[in-house]
Amino acid sequence: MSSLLEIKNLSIDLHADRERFNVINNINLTIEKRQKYGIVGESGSGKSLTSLSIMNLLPDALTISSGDIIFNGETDLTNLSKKDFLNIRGNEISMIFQEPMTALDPLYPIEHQIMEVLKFHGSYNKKQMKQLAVEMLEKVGIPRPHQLMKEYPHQLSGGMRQRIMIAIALICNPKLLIADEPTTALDVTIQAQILDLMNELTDTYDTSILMITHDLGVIAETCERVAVMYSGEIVEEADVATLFKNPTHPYTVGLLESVKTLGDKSNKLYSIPGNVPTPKQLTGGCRFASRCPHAMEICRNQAPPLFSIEADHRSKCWLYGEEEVVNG
Amino acid sequence: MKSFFERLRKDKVGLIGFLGIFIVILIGLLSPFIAPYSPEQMFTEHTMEGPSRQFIFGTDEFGRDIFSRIVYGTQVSLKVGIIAVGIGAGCGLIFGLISGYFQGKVDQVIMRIMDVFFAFPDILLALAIVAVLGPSLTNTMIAIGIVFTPVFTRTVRAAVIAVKENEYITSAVAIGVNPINIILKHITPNILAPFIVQITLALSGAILTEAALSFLGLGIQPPNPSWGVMLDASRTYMEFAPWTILFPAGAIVFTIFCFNLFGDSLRDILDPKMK
Repeated sequence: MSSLLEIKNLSIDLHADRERFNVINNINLTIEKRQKYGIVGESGSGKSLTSLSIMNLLPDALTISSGDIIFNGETDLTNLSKKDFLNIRGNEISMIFQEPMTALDPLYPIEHQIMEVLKFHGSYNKKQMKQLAVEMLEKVGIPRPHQLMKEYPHQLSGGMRQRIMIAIALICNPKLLIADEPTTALDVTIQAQILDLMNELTDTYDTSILMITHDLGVIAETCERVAVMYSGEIVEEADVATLFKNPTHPYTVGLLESVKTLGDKSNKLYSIPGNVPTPKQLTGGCRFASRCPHAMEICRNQAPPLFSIEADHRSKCWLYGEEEVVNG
Repeated sequence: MKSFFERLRKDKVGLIGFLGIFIVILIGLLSPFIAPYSPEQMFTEHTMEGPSRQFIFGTDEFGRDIFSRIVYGTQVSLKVGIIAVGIGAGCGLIFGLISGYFQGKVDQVIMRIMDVFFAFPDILLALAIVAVLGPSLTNTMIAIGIVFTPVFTRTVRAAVIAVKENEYITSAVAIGVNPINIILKHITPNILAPFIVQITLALSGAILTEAALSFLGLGIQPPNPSWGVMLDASRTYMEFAPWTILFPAGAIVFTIFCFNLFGDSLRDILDPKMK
């Protein structure tokens, strides 16, 4: 059985000031059917760009310079025509965005926005669409769905809107749901509810999730497999349990340490010194070398490949330089 | 729509403008019933008479009733204003949407052409176009429409670029809405506020430009009653028959003033940040 989504050697370049800067460098990842996959990284690590490239929603200044994105074992999304993409978006692959406050068109009532997806994917009459929309709103846990259908986005809270975004994303029963920081803009109690809802619904619909977040807690709660991104590269990839128990890349270690745990008496938060290098600052070596506590001579001169630590656990660091993954 | 009138009622200045426009439109629509005489009827024994009970705004050099001519001139002014602005707004909307949505080379070409039009003063450009097409009512409207196209294109383009960045546009794309529907159903309704405001402001500009063109003899041709034509004809008699110029000028001032008042308050009312 083939995987649902395979990203192979994906690189994305930024065109600015008549120059090209590499922003995503040679990413490989595979999402199996029904799998919940997480990408974690700080701002500017390229995690959102990766998700946008799957949907072909990259801003004009960014282009895929090499690599393939194979969907469902057969379709290469990187050279799909615009027309064919209309059929994929919202139907086969859906997306939830970070800001529920702005992700709904302020001028239309909720029913219009849910029914719009159905209008473009499938042949339903108005009554059927309305029926499906109400059922979907019930499934995402919205009370009095009939009344809510007539309301406008500004009348609803952030949590409600995110539920509606989930309803819109799942109503066509997509194979893959991309969630780009779906809970970042919500407060903590709502966050947990939304994550539970996403977990529950994707289980019933057999949908895979690609969860993009900077929050390791979200990863721990929802995902099975995780990739850690830093400066446009995947630096470590493992099962969630393995990653939390045995982080290998110095960046992952730093990331885990900067999470404040309950009962921690010290007042100071750990932070990784320095910032993510901008695309213009990149040199030949490991991209994390300037901030790494274990940086060696080789790190500054030569970029490490992904080394295999154990089965299904890979790390892009010279500290583990014994068994190189050929497909890295 | 309900909240629109509620908020207009709170804005006294805007309400005055709105009522003024309403009256002007009413006069335009009902001019045959309001005007006591035909605009071309000459009372040869009553030339150049000041305001009296028979001719409340007086008569001009041919003995025509100035009040009737102003009333009928309202029709001309409104017609020119609405059609010319319709042409300008329509073209501007299309160019602006294309320019703002697709950007890149198309945008460059369209906006540079608009810049060329912008480089000329309004009146000069309208004069040049009328001079080429020949003076008539239709050509006046076309000329004014062309003059107003760049302003609309710029307004629409700027609004489109701002709206396009919103996440609801990206998420509409992400659910598989095609570009035509994105433009028509999601972008266009969201740029209407600045667009409508621009229309009210342009309406007054168009009426003014028509008056100016007619004053210069290149717009509406006499004996058709147009406020600009009346100003032009009466300027020679200004000193000893001031009523011939005062009342047409007053009509222009009143109409423009009302449109500007309404346009200004419309901008506040439609601005989502003021809600």
